[in-house]
Amino acid sequence: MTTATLDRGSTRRSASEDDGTLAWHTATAVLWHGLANRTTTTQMEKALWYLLTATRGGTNRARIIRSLSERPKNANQLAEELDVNYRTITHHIDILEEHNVVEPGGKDYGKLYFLTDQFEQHRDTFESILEAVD
Amino acid sequence: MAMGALIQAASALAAVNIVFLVVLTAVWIRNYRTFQTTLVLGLIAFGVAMLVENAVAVYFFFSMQSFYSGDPHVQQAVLVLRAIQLVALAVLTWVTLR
Repeated sequence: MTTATLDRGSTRRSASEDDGTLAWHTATAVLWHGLANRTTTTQMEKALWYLLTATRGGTNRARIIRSLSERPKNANQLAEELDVNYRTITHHIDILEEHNVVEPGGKDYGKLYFLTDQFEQHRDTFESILEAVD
Repeated sequence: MAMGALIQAASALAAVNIVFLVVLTAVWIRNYRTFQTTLVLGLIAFGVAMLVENAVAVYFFFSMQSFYSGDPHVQQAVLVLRAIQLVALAVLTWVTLR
């Protein structure tokens, strides 16, 4: 009897300890997830500010993004439409790809480039950067 | 009195820093014309302040040589500071022109 009560007591205690540990893990996981998410969101915003306003190629990179907003295009079409050298276009595309702003739709020569979901989530940042532009 | 070799080298590095800063500030002024954002305005202020800093350094090297001539350690320290700033500005210029 006494042993049984003790056992139950100890079981209850350990169960509540488990609850505590679980709550602690949940709290840290939520906090960690929140911090991680916060970092990735601001990363795209920072990337856009840096790539468009702080660097020499910013204006052309903004034009590429605006053109890809209409529909996906390959480097050749972009070069023709924006009247920019093909090699300049591929250089800017590489940098935009490096920062997860655009992604290719295939592996072949002449592949189309798409704006990423990450970019679309932060399109308002792009629009606010371009607010003063014509 | 002849200018110390170390101070001469420091002046040369400051001159290269000035070239980097002129390039950077020119890029940011052009971008400000397009985007008109506070961030770029901040970058321009940074570039101009650093330009003035390097110009003042060169002025000191030429006009106040008695400051530096006494102690070679002072000259070394001055040269090291200019060299580190050169590395910083070279990297910033590279990523800005990419």
